[in-house]
Amino acid sequence: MDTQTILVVDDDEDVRSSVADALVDLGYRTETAGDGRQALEFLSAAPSPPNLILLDMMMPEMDGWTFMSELHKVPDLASIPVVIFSAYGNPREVAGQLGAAGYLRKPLRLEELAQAVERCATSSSGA
Amino acid sequence: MHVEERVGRSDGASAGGVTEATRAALEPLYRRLSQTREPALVQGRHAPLLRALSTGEATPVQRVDALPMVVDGRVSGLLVLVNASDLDASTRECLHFLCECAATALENALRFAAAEARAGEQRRRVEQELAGERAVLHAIFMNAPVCICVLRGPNHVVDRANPSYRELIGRGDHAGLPVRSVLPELEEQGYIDLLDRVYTTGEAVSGTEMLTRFRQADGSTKDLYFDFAYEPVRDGDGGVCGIIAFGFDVTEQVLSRRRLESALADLRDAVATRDEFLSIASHELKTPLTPLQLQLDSLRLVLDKAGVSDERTTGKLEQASRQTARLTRLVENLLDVSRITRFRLDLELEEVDLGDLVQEVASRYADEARRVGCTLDIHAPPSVVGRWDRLRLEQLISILVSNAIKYGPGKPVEIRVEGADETAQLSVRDYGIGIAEADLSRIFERFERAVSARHYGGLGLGLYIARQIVDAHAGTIAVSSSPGTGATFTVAIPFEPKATNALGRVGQGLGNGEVS
Repeated sequence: MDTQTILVVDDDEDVRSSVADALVDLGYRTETAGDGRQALEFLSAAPSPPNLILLDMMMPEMDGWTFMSELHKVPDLASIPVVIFSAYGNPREVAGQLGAAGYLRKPLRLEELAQAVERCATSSSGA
Repeated sequence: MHVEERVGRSDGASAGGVTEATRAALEPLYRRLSQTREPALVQGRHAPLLRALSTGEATPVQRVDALPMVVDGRVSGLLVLVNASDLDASTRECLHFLCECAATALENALRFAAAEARAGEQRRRVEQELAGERAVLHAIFMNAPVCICVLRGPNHVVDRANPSYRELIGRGDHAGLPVRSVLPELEEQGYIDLLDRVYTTGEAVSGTEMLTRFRQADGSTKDLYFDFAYEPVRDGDGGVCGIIAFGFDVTEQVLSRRRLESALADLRDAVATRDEFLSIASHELKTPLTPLQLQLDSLRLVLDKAGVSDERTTGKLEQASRQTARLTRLVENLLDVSRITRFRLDLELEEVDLGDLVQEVASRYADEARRVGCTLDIHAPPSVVGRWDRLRLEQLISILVSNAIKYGPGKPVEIRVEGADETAQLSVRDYGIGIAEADLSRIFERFERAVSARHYGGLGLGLYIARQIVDAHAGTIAVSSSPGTGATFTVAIPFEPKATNALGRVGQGLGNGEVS
C-alpha cells in the first residue's frame, strides 16, 4: 500500500512542523501549508490529492471556514477528508457544521493524533 | 324666677324698679299662676303684695290683677295691673290678648336667642377647626423639605413661597413679581411654557429628575435635578386662577445613582475585559502547548524505536509530559471559567458508563497517587449508564480525584460509583487536611480556596468548574468535611438530564471545596 499523504494546514510554524514530524514518525508522508490560500494553491498544483487534511481554523489570509467553503467548490477536492484541530470554540460543533470527518482539540497528544488520522484518512494516495 | 323686671302702674302713678320686697311678695302669686295659668286678683289691705307695692307710694295699692304669660306651655311671666279696678271687660279682654301676644313675642325671642347661641357656637367651632387646619397647612408650607411657590394669574405672579423655595432661589422675597422676571433662566428652559400650559388647560404637569440650571448671584450657574409638579388652583367658579409649583431637589440622589451606575458599568467592563483576556490568554497558551506535547510524545516514540531509552530518560520524559499535561489542565480551566461566565456551559450528551469512565480517569492518576503515597480504592461497578457529556464528566472526576490526592497525600482515596433510582452517584473521599466549616460555603466559588495559595498551588477554579458541570447536568454536588479528617465530595446526576443550564444553581446549600 502506498504511503498516505497528510496535508497539515496551520499558521504556527512550530505547531505545523511538530504535527508533521509526528506524522512522519507515525509513517505518513506530509505536506504543509501556512494558511488556507497556500493549502488551496498546493492542492490545485498537486498531482494527486492528499489522503487527509489536518486543518487549523484560526489563520491569517484565509481561515479554516473560508478554506472549507472553497474546497467544497472544487469537485475533485471536495471529497478529501478533513480533520479540524483548533484551540478555539467548540471543535466538535465546528466539525459538524463544516462536514469535517473529525476534530481534535489543541493541545493534542500523539495518541489522539494517530487515532484520528488512522480513522479518517482515505486508504490510498488517491489518483 | 321669671318676674317682670319693670312694673308700671296702670293708675298712672310713677313706675320704678321692682324692690326686693315686691319681688318676694310677687313670688307666691307667680307660683300660683304657674299652676293655674289663670288670671288672678289680689286685694285687701293686708295682702303682702299690696303692702309691698304701696311702700313709699302716695296712693296705697288696693288691688292687683295678674295675667299669666304662657310660653311653650309654661308660665314665663306675669302681666301685673295695679289698681286697675276701673278697667272694663273689653279692656281686660284686650289686655289678655296683649298678654298672649307678649307671650308669643317672648317665646319667639327666646327661641331666636337660643338659635343665635347655637349658631354662634357652631361658628366658633368651625372657625377653630379652620384655624387649626390653617395652622397645619402653614406648618407644612413653611417646614416641608419641598420647594413650594404659589403663583397667581396668567403672568404667574409669585403670591408666596416657602423657605425651602426661597433658600433655593436665594434672591430674597420676590412676592408680587412674575416668576419669569424673578427666574428668567426658567423661560429659556421651557418652564414658563409649561406654566402657561397648566394655566390654559387646567391640567397638572409633572416631571422627574429634570435637569434645571439656576443662575447664581456671582454669575455662575448651578445645575440641579428636580422632581416637580405644577398643580392648577381654581377659583369658586372652577376657572384656573393660579398654580402651585412643587419642586423636590433630587440632585444628590441622581448624582449618587449615576456614580453607582458608572461604577457598576466600570465593574462590568472590568469583568468582561478579564474574561476576554482569560479567553484569549488561554487560547494563546494552548498554541505552544501543542508542539510541546507532541514533541515530547514523539521523542519518546523515537527513543523507543531506536532502542536507546533507559529508565532515567523515560523518567525525565514522563515528568516533562506530566507537567505539560498539568499546564494544559490549568489552561483549560482558565478557558472554562471565561466560557462559563460569558456563555452557558453547553453539553454534548452521549451514552456514558460512569463506572468505566471513573476507572479510566483514575488509572491516569495511578502514577501520581503512587508518587505521593496514596492508594486509590475504587468501587465502580460498570453499567451505571446515563446520557451525559463524556468530556465534562471526565473533567469533573479529574478535579475531584486530583484534589483528593493533592490534599490527602500518604492516605487512601476512596472513589465510589452507585446507581440509584433516577440518579447516578459519585463520591470521592480523602483522609487529608479537610475543610473548616467556615470555608465550606465558598469553596465552589470562583478563585476561592480553603487553603493558603502559599502552601497549595492551583488557580482556585477546579471546584467552581466542577459545580458548573454538575449544574449543567441538573445534578447536585455536596461536601462533608471537618479539619484533619479529610473530605467527602458527593455528586448526584440524573441519568437523563433535562434542563441543562450551567448557570442554574442546582445543589445550593451543600458545602463547597477547592481544586488545582
